[in-house]
Amino acid sequence: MHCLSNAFERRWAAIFFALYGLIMLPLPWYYNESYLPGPLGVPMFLWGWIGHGFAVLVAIALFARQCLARPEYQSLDSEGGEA
Amino acid sequence: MSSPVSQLIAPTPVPFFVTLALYFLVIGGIGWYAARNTKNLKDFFVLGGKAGAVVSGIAYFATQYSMSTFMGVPAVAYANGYAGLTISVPGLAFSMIIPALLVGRKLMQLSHTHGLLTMTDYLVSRYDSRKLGILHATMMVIFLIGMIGAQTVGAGVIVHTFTGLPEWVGVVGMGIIVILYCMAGGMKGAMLTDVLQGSLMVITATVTFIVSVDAGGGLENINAQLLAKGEQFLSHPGAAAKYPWSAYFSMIVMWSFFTIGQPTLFTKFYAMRDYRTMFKAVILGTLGMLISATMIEWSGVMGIVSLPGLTGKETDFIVPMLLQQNLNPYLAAILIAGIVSAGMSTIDALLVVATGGITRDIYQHGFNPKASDEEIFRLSRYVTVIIGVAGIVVGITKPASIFELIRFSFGGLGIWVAPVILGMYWKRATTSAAFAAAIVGGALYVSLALWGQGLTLGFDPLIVSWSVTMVLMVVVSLFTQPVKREVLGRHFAFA
Repeated sequence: MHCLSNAFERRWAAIFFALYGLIMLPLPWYYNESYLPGPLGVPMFLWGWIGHGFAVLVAIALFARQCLARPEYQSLDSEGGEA
Repeated sequence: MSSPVSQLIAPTPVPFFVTLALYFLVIGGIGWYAARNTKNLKDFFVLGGKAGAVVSGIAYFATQYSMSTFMGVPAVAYANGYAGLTISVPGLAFSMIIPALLVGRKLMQLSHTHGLLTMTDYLVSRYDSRKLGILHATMMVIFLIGMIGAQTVGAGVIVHTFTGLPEWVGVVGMGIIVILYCMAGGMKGAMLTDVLQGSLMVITATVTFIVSVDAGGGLENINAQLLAKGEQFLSHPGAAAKYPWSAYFSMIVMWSFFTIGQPTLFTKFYAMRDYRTMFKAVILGTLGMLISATMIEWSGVMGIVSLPGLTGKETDFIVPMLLQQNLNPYLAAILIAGIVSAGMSTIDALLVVATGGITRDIYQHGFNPKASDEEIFRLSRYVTVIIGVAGIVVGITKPASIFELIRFSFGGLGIWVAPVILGMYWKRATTSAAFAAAIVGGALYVSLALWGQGLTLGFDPLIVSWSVTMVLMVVVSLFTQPVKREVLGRHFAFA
């Protein structure tokens, strides 16, 4: 089983790679060559990274929950099914 | 005139040694327990494939987060300001899910059905070539020794800060302790001690963060003072101009996607007993890394205000000095044990994997196929000592800063991402192509990293070298003989 095995895997891979690609962009709340202060004077990009990190963590939890409800995740011997 | 470090250091050897002695007694006890329960080769290398979620999750981030996280990156943050956090904070959340998505689940299936124990096992099995396995094991051991050496450098800095003794004393002391418990307990000892060490690392990161905020007079005051020093401390590319966008992109990709080339990652996935364990480990590990790495690295920025004046290699002292200057000596020593833990938990995993590379992949598979598992098991303990001593030698000679040593070694291992990814997703990837990618990629990476940084347009040499290896592997694969159908059948049965 891998991230291209079936439609379910491909959908989640697309979500994670979109989140991955998003943080690489030089958007002002991720990368900034000027000081853009956020709460407590901390640069906005650090809050952006932390917020993005927790959004990814929530996505991982949702992905895990959906995976573990599927038959192919019940045993290591299962093959990735087509959905 | 003496340096700021020697002026600020106030050695407190008694609390330091008493606390660390107690800590090492506990670690030694775990190693002894693990040794009594390590009965065969599979136990030694992958804990018999039975690791649970808490052990796997904490062990993963304890291994990934090392002296670099606790001393190297805070030092970079101290020199650069907030832009220095670019090294790991933006990519932290992806460091487990990207490898799990791309390779983790398939590795667990392959280990379960075909008994794979190491990353080299995977490459040998997929490309049906013992020679490729020997090449991988040889390159792997060389770069792993560099990584082990980097961890021991941090121990030297800590011992010097707290006792005034020369740095080599810490390097040798740490090396010997890890060798002993690793030699005894293999992966079981390594993963069980990782649980204690990982928990202590989270506590150390949290307390260091609080202490550094307090020492600087609060976050608002610290940021106002940084602004007064110059806007470059609060923006990219940072005070030392080291982190333009190309470096920002490189760092995100380096510590997430390229962990796929790290042999310790394979061992961790092989050791997980089922998917439920894997997901719990990914969630727990990601959360642990987000909290501990962000806080400890942020402390480096705060230190600019409360402990100004450190330059060059002295910046490696920032976290130990923050603790020493602001806490009771016993409490500071306990937290320092958390930093020592970060290095030890990384060294133990590296030692087990490097030992497997020499004993199984090079000796047993390359020179003595008749060697029994018992013989390899016995030999493993001696090889652990030899590799550990080599790491200590690197630590004593200290050819570069902690972060630079780790970055170079990590990159050398990352070259193997092309054979792994293409081997997993493309049936046409051939053995000749894997050889070409590893040899050309390895030579190109080392050349660029040592002499050609200016040619990479600001991107890390690993990213440039990996791109070349991907193209090379595709082209060579199209013109060379495919791997046997029955071998591919084994590997793509789960696709």
